This record gives sequence, C-alpha cells and structure tokens, in this order.
Amino acid sequence: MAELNGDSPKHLRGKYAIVGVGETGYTRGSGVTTRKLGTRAIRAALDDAGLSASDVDGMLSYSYNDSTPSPTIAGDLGIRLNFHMDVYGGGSSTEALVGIAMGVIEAGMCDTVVVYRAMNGFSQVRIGGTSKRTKPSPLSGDSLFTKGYGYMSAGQWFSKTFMRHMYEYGTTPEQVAMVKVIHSEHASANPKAYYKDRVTVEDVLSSRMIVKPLHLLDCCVETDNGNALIITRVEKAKDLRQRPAVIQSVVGRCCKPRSDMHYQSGPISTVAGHYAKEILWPNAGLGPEEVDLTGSYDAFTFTTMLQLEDYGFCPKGEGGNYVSSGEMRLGGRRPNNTSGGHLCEGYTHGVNMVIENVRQLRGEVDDSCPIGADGKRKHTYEYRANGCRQVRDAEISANLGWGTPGIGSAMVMARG
Amino acid sequence: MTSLPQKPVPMPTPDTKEFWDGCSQGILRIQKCEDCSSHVFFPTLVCQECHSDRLTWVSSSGLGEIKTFTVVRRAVGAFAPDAPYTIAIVALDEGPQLMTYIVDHKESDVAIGKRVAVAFERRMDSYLPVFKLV
Ligand SMILES: [Zn+2]
Repeated sequence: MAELNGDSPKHLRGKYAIVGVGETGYTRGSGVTTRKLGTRAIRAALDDAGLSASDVDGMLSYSYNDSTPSPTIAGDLGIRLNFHMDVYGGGSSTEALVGIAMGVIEAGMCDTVVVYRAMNGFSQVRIGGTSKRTKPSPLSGDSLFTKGYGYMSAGQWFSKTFMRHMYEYGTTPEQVAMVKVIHSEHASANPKAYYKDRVTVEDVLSSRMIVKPLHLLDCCVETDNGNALIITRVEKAKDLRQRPAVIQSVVGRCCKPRSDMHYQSGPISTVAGHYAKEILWPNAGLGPEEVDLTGSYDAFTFTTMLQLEDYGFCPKGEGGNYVSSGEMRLGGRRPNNTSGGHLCEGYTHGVNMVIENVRQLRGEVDDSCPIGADGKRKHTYEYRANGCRQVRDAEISANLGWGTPGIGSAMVMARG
Repeated sequence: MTSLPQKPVPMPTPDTKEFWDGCSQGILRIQKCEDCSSHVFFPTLVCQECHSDRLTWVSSSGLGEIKTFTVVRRAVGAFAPDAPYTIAIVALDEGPQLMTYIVDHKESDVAIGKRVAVAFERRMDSYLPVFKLV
C-alpha cells in the first residue's frame, strides 16, 4: 500500500461536500424524455439540500450522446450558469466529474455545481447490446484491431480480464456469484430497487451463459433513470438542510499504461484501481482499513471483486475470498453497494452508488424503517427483506467507479 | 424487406496500411524499434519503450500463446449467427499482445497457455488475422 502522507499539499481534503442528492425511480420504460428525468432528479436534489435554483451556477453531465445536455436542463429549471460542461463517457465519470466540480469552484469559476446523469438505459440506448446496423461499418483507430472480432458489448470487452484472473488466482464463479447474492439481499431492503428478489449462488450459476465466464445474473440490470448530486464548499454546507458528505479524496479516470487496449500493458488481471489507489488513499489520509462501507461498481459481479482487490481491501489475488466471505454484506465488516447497486437497484453509470453512500453517511438511508416525529428515520438495524439497510455508525465510505479494466475513478467521503 | 447486418470492415489509414496489406498477402506484420529492438503492436508512431520514432515493419513469426480468452454465447447484429465464438488475447513470441479469434477448434480444447499460429480470414475485401491451435 502507498505510504500515507497526511501533509500532502496536492489535494482539497475536507474542503468540499455533497450537500444534496436526487433521483427518479428506476424503471424499464420511463415513458418520459431524458430531459424530464434530468430535471426531476435535479429538482429532488435541490429540495434535499434546501437550495433554490438560483443557488446553483455550475452544471456537469456525462452521456454516450444518449441524454439531454445541461444548457437545456438548466434553462428548464431557471438556473443561470457560470459554468457547464457535458462530457462523453459512462462508468467512472461520476467521481471524475465530482473532482472537476471541486476544481472549477476552487478556481473561482462558479460556486455550486450539479452533476447529473439522465438516461433511458433500457427503453432507448442499451449499453449491453448494439444498434441494428445493416451496412458494414468501417473500422478506424484502435477499433480496427478489436471490433472486427465481434467484440460488441462491455461484457465481451471485460471478460478476458475476468478469465485471466480465474486462471492466475483460482478465483471461482461460485465465489464471484456471491456479489450478486449479497447485492440482492441489500436490494430486498430497498423499496426503489428494480430487482428486489433475493437470489442464490445456484440461481446465478444456472442462469444462461452470456459470455464466458459471465452468466446472465452476473450482469447488471438495464434501467431508465435520472440521478443528481450537488457539490459545494463545506462552509456553505453548514447552513443547508442535510448533514454533508465531506469529500476526502477523489480520482478521475485514472488509467492502466494503455487504456484503449488495456490488455497490452500491465498484467491482464490487474485493473486501473491498482494505479488509482496511489492517489486515493494518500490524498484521503487514510487507507482501506478505515473504510466503513464501499460502493464498488458492479457492471458485473467481477468488476466489484477486481476493484476491491486492486484498491487494497484484500491482498492481490484474494478478491474471490473477500467477496464471498460475508465481509461486504450488511452486518458484515464493510458492506458494499447497500442499495443493491447496478446488479439490482438500477443502472446509472455510477451515480446511484454515490447517492447511497451519501445517505448512509447521513445515517438516513431510505429503507422501510419508520420515520419518527422529528422527521428522521428510526433505523432498526435488522437486515432482512423489507427491513433496515442502514450501516451502523457509518463514518467513511469509498466509491470505486469502473469504466473499463483500464479506466477507473474513485472517491472517499466522510460524515460531516 | 430487411437485409442482413454486415460485419465491420477495416478502413486502413496511412498508419495502418502496411499491416492490412500484409494480411492480404498472408503475412502478420508488426513494428520493430531500430533503437531498442522492441516489437510493437498495434501500429503506432513512437516506440513505447524508448520513445524513438524509428520504427520499421517486420514479419512476425505468427506464433504465440493464448494469454486469455472468452467464449461469446449471446451475440448480436452481424455476429449473432457466429455464436458461440472465441475471442482471445494472444501474446506473440515477439512480445506484443493482440485481440483475435481462435478458429477451427472444439471449445473444450481452448485454454490459457496453449500455443497458436496465425491464419487469415477473409472479410469483404480485407483479411483479418485469426489464430488456430497448434
Ligand atoms: Zn525503442
């Protein structure tokens, strides 16, 4: 692990916070535009924070050209922008954009930034499949040497990394299936989750093989949804409605030696987290041992496992043990994706995993526990279907965002 | 009436033309650095080991080893009729690693560490390097 240097001057540790979060439901067939999904998510986040539209002057979003850009959405909400940018990309964008938000505020370019992702990921543009082209598409650039071989989906692109990890370390499909099992348990206590049913290891292994070693249930759900986060300075956060989730460290789209053909340099079984951890932990001034809960991106069961391992939550090669030991289950030492994540709650390219951890750090996760007279939820800490999913005394969270084996982003947050 | 989807075809650029011309002639070409002798793939402009721009095209032995692979069972579009098919990363004996197909095999015979040799598969007017178990 990297040597921790608490005096490092290169970070903004403890200076920024996520002060509001908002989301639409997670559905298949939203029946509305991404414009409406984005607008609704941002309105919910403003309401959550206790901010009005005029308090926001910065906006960032990301998409695969499958969304509505920020000038339209800001216009609809009556937000006059001092800064905005809509970037291309999917997974691993969330934490990267939070870091950019901190940077532009620090640079004096604006004061308070909304980060959003609005997508009809099931009913319009499905990341898991491809468009139905009838003409041969000419291949150029790096795709000359990849897409010609029928690599058409994220699963096909990543699976070779998973296969190599199994070969080198003896990781088994049974071990990795536990990621889905545990996330399904978490989702069973999440009224918003698209899939709320608990599944077993047998359910995962007996579901049909999509691309070796991925069964259908190793793959995330595709859904329609809008998600939003609001970032501002910690001093400003003190006057707002919610306890802030204070950003300790952030890494954005950190890469393996080659990110376009990730398998060419660096061991194939190693992912970008191996490099990102050298930024994440020193800047946070803490290490994996101090983290109470994680949000390791679960585009597939394997992505959760590989990232937890390469960020140092267990020794290299022991990810299979880590994810199957019960450590990352609610009630375990360090729960992962307590909402059910992309495998069960919904697919948002990472934002929902950050929203969940913000609520966990507040101590106010939105499960079925009763709400008291003070308006606060009274958590029972009984982890069962339709029960509680609040982590006891959650103080430090780590989100590990995944783009590809070659690209990762991450963020450590602390209870404010 | 709908026509069947077509597989993507290479569109060579000045940077990659030598490679694709080689494929048409049944030769797997890679680049070699004249300064540090590293072999390089895919076609590039600068040696990633020593940053020299003196790269020349050489013929690869076409022999290598499967570093990892996957079997696509559910394919879409133009590739749907091919499923199941095997995509692999092959490490050439010269060093570089490339993505390719493993063709003409029983699925149970493919494994990491197995030796392979290059072959060429026609697609429209181009040829793609693929590999066979040896
Ligand atoms: Zn060189």
